[in-house]
Amino acid sequence: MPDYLLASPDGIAWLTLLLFSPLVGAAIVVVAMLTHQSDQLVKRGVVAWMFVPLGIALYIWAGYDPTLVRDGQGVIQFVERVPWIRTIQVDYFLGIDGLSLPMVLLTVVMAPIAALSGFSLTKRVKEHFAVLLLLEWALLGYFLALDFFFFFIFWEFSLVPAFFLILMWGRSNLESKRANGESTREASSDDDPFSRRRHAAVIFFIYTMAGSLGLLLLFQFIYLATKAGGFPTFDLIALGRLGSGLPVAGADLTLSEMFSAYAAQLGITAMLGTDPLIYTGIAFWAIFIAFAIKLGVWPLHIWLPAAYSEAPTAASILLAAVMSKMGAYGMLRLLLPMVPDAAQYFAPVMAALALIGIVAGAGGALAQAGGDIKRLIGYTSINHMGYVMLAIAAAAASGAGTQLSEAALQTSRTIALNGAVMQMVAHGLSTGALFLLAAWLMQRGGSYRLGDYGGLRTAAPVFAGVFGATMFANLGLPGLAGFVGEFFIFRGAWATLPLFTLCATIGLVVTALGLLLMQQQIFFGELNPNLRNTSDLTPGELGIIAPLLALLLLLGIYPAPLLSLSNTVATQVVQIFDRLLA
Amino acid sequence: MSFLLTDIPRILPEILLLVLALLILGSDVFERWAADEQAALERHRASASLAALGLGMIFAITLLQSGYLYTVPDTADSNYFTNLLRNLQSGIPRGSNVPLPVMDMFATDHLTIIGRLLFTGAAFLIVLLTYDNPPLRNPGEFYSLLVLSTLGMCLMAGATELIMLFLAIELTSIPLYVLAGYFRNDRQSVEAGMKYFLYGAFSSALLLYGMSFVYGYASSTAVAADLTALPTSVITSFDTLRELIAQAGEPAPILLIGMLFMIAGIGYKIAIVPFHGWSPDVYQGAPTTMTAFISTASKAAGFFLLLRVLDTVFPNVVGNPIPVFDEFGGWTGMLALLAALTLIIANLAALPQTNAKRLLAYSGIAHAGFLLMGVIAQAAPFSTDRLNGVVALLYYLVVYAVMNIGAFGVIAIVAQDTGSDEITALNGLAQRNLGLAALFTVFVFALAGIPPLAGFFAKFYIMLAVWQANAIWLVVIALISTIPALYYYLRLLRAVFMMPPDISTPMPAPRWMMASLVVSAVLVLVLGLFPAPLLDVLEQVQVQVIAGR
Repeated sequence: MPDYLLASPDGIAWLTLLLFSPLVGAAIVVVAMLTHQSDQLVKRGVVAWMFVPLGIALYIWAGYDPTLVRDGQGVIQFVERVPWIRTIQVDYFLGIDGLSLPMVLLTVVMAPIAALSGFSLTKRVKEHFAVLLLLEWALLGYFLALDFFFFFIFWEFSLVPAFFLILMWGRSNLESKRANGESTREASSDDDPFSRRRHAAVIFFIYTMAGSLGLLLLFQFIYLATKAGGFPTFDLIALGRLGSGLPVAGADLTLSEMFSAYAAQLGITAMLGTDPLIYTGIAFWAIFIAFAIKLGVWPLHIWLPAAYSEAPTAASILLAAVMSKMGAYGMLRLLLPMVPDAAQYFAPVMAALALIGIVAGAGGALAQAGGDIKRLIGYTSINHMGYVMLAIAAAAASGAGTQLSEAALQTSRTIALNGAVMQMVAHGLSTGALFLLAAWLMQRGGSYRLGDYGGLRTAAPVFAGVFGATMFANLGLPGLAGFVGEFFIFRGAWATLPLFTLCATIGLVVTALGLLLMQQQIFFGELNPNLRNTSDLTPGELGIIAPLLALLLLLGIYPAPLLSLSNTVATQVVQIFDRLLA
Repeated sequence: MSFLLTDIPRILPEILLLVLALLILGSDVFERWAADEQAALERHRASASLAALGLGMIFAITLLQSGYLYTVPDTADSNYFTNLLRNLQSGIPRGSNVPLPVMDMFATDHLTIIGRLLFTGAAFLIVLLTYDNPPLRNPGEFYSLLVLSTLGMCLMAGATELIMLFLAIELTSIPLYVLAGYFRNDRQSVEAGMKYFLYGAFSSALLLYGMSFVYGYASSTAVAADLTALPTSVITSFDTLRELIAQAGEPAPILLIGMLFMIAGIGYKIAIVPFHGWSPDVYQGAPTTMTAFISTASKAAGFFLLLRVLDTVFPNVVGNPIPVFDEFGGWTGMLALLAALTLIIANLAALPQTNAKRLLAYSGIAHAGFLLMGVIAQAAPFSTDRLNGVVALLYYLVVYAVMNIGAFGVIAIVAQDTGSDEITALNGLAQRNLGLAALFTVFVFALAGIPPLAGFFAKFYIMLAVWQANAIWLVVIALISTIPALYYYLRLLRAVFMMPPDISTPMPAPRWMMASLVVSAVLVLVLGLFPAPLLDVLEQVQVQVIAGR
């Protein structure tokens, strides 16, 4: 193994254990299904089981050394690599670095929260929890896999459990219509075949699949190009190193040179010319579109509000908290290292899309201020993921035309990327908590429509407090985690993309307004007489939400553990552009 | 040319299939023939068990004989078992040593062996599916026809001579015409049998017509050719035809016309656009288990034949798959156009279907488009890439067979319970039988190409092979066509998981049908997750021409 890969120190395949523990859990649930165990047992068992991956992930975190740097990149640790399909050089290749570890930790933390949110479920309970475990498996696999083929399997497979969660346990037509303030007279039974959740599930599935076609096509091209270049591989790390100009044992050409050579061999150069930027540019768009759909970048976000709002609570939590991060993770893992020149060239486009997303997401949230609470949270997600997109664009942008020194630009880029990782985690925690609270609100008031509420503060003061704290974490109040991410992103992006960053601040204000209006709608004003007997948060519910709030507070005042992870990756990505400009 | 005694083990699977067919037919006579239901059931069960056991044993013997599991090393001690195995494996290709075809007309190379395994395996799964059917009127006849058809398929995979090729196709097809129209009291079944017969007869005529052109061209050039250089004295053998065509130099239009007619004739068998007209009607009307057989084994046999004929007889008209209209693109160019048409038309035509079997028929046509891409990969300049094309095609055929048998099997169980094969009959299957719904989900997602199921790797690999033949445009079309495909597959799942059932009683799942489905589902999963062992076997396929062209 090269120096930048490091196997598990004690020889135990920890990542395999981590990856397959949810799958084993799902198998146990199937056994419980076959032996007709009680639903209650399965609910508790699944939550208890989810502490297994959590424990393994924490162990891996403890054993992970973020300071190791070799051959120009942060060392990938706990690596497991076994040949899998030799004919096309596919390996079973797992590893963890400063980019995937925060995502893995986010996944294992949010999964039990999502499972706990499904406790009130009465319909097909065991199936729900088995599918939830499958989703956790797919998400973990996505963040751990370092071979494109393997990575792509999880990328697409993750759609399957999410699709079933939305299709089978999504909210009923009645709830959807009421949430949107439409007449519910015509809404028929729960199983209305033309319900919105079916529409949302199908759109979600087909949109993401269609977006990933380009990615699949590109990687076939990459495999054949690297094969023609004498180094056939699907290894994402090696491809990233080839793309960013770092040496890889066995390969003499860079990725861009291989592209050009293979394009010439295919005879495409006669049609498209010989400029390498054309080929890396095509590769850029193939990767960007696939991940931008998942991240909810404008104008590819259309599936997102529907999917988030129609999904059951558990799926909403995992969709918003973890699945949307799959897009940003993919961009940082694939896009920037593999085609940095094209990323730099198209950075203004990325920034513009991010900006439109930020403003449009904020506007969408504001427009829902009296309407569907889940849709409102969905739009704020588009807004918040816009900041992440902005940070990625800022890291890629050349910064030409600014008066800053090269060193200052590098620092700013690093700060922006650190902010992006921080924002991904913070948004995951706070949005998950918001969806959880929205579900509890629904249990109390029987509606997702904000206009149906009012003055709940007097009836449920603790609920109001918790809701407020979560909302402030979400909109980035200093002292809470959201602030750290947003501050870093704005501070970092300011150097290379000042104009875009300036305009993006509008988003901050408008989202804050939307979220504050939501708080006001629910808890202030005159108490709706139907809600007079609304119960406050139970100790059990407090116990579920407390860890999230604690994490948000902790990361807000002491973000160092997370930043020490992301900093290696941020530095490494920034060096790519450093080399490119030199 | 003459038949040798040592050729007997080489065609043992075919001999055994013939014996089995006759045995089933004969043994039925000794059953209790009475008008009561019990007797009918006994007869049905007896024939079905005999067919299942026989096919299972023939599959096992072929597998043992193939040497894919174990080959007796030359140094092994001589005892009863090693001698038996040595005799069994004596005529089997080993390494680069491929024996000459039996009597110049039937090759026993890896392609044939893989074909035998695929067809007998598929037939075995199909027989299991029919085991719990309501008793048939003449079970002996039914199962012996099925086995005879399987025999024909094995011959199709191995045929290396024109007459043999034609006989093999007819031996495959004629039993299938009867089986498609087996339910004499069902008008749709009768219609299916009739349509299948008429289309089949027409396609046979086209094939014969094309063969006569090719033969005529070759034999007229033989007058001037150096006959001593020919591999055999049989002029209709593929190898001789190739040599004669090669010696004649620039191919004449008459040869190309002959080739086009042959492709059209085989095109009917594999149901590609524009020769697909019969398949939705036949698939819908035929007994569901027979639909599964026709759509998998029969289609696969067609592809084996197509690959061997084109690769052995016409290697010098291979052309390239980029359609350039001012010069003839060779057979890969023509097939590339047909594949593109197939992918587009079949996937669009599947969208409005309301009958599950009809929908799966169009999905089968669309898959034929993907399969054609494996043949098109033969235009690649390097022999390793051409071999990759063959491997991809064979892998896809195996996967397609198991997933399609599975999907039709579920439809068969549902139709047996509800009496309907409309998509609405699937409504609420998840509430009525969750296990069956889960199996159906596996098959449907495999057909749609969702990883990690085998359908994904099959598509991935076959597209990778076509890249090397420079047909990027075709890869792009194929990829885009998966999106409408995903939509209509999701429609099936929507019915299963979301629509309320008409009646909510649990749906009975007969034991042997479920066994067949579980085997198929496990194969779909295992082949998807661990394709390497199967790929290693398939990579041994060296149709001589592929290696030497």
